[in-house]
Amino acid sequence: MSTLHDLLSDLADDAPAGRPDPGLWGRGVRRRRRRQAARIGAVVAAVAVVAVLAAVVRLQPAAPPPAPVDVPFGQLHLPRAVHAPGPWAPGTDETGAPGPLAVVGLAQRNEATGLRGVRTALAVFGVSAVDGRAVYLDLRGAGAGPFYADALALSPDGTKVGYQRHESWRGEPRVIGFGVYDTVTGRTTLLDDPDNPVIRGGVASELTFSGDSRHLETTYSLTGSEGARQDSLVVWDVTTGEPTVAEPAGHYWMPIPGRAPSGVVWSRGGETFTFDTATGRTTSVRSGFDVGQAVYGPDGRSFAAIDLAGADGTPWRLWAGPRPDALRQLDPGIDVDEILGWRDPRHLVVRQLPDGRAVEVDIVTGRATGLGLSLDRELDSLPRFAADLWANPLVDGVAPDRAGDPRRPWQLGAVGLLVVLLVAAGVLGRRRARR
Amino acid sequence: MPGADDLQASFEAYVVARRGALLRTAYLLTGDAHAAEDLVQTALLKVVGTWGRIADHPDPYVRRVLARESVNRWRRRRWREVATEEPPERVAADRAQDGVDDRMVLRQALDRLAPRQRAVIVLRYYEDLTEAQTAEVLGISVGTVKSQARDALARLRLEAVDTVRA
Repeated sequence: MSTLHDLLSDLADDAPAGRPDPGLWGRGVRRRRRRQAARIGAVVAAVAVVAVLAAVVRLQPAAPPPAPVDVPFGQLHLPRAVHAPGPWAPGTDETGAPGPLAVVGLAQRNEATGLRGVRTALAVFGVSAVDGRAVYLDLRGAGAGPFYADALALSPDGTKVGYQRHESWRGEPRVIGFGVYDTVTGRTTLLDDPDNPVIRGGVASELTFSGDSRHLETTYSLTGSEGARQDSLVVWDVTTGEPTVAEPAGHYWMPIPGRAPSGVVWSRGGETFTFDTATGRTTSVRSGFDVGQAVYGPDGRSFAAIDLAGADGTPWRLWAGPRPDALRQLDPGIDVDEILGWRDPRHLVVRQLPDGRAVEVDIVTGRATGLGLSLDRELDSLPRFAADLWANPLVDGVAPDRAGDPRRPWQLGAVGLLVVLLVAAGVLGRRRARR
Repeated sequence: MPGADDLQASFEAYVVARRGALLRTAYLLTGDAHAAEDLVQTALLKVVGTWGRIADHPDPYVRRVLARESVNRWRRRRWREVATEEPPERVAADRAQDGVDDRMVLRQALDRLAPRQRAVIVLRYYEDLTEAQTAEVLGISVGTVKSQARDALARLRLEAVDTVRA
């Protein structure tokens, strides 16, 4: 009986003899090189995939925290440094309502078009009064503008943004109404004048909110005429959408908006008027100078006004006092072009144009203190502040996350996927060829 | 450290000296002359890349590549082949009638073993490796070698290689 070894040996005698292949060594060396190259390719592909995934994770903006809905007034702050969002930063359509705002302004925003195109346009942004984050405001019906800083208003409490709504007419934008965006709820109130589907007249004059943040003040022609003396001061109740004419047409110059804790305030010549929105009555105080801007203090009694000082080119002058009839001229050390608000009934905040330098002025002692405001170079014009918030301490601004092109992760992902597919195809092709 | 030319010379000398033995083992592993030549060719190509490390004692590594390549080829081929409905005829039933010799019986019986069982049989009973060496060559545990050898031998006996003494 044979052993299995013997049987296997017998069977192995049938094995072919064959001759050694003289090119075996060379082919083996080339095979080793191909495998090394494939290994390197696989490593590169893996690194590329990891890098792409890391980039995707890093480039995807973190989900913003939910918008503050009910934040106590004391926790709302204006920033010393105003930063615009990055050009690729998201808008409120993506992030939701931002909560009370400290600042609104204009900056250049990028929009992706197609696979690689970019369209850049002026856009409205807001800076949160809660956490300082800047976000673009996707304002319904605002269209592509034109945007002017004057055609944009932030309510004193920071909860509403007023703006003009546009449509394109024969290639040109025209104003068809106004809108008020609620920064807390995200809702938009459209303000339409049914008798004037196209707003004409003094629409380029600034939009303003009343001191109680309830009324949006606009100036336009109720008759649709572009002629002189046709503009009326129309105030809109933003809670009901109802317009009220505070000052009828008939004046050559448009009214210069002011502010008081309640009512609608404007100046004309040497007089400052206050329209009581509850009663419809208008009262006025007379100053001994041509009033550029008049603002009542938070106590409703203290008063500050800019004196246009005639037409001789001399700097405007600042007057303030505990009452409209007890004013003193102040020298804050800057050219006063705008009254921003009050820190308290005794301390006023003013700024000069165009650099936006601002100081706080003690209306009793006349002492002026710089506020150290700084503005991002990306800003298109001077920002508008929520006037009530000057009462709270200022905080440092928050530099924005420089979000990149939102298509970039997908572009990188596509490149990574292509690399992986090419490597996979190469490996499969090699294997098939080997078989 | 030997140069490239020295390595090539030692490889080619090894091939000349050992190719016949490798072909015999490969033939037992595959049961086919062409497949055996191809298997040896592939195994030798694969060891070129590591020849610098194994040149002093190449047999264990070459044997390992040969055996594993044989098993892996069967795995790769299995899903591409079309299964037949009818099993191959049993040699045992015909053996007495046709007088087929033991060599043919063993070859066909080996063909019916699973490739790893076949490899275990070849390595244990032709190459005379120990169970531990067989396990190392195939990359499996000694217990698996034992069970595969037991099952393979039972299968061979069932296939009428009953005169075999392991």
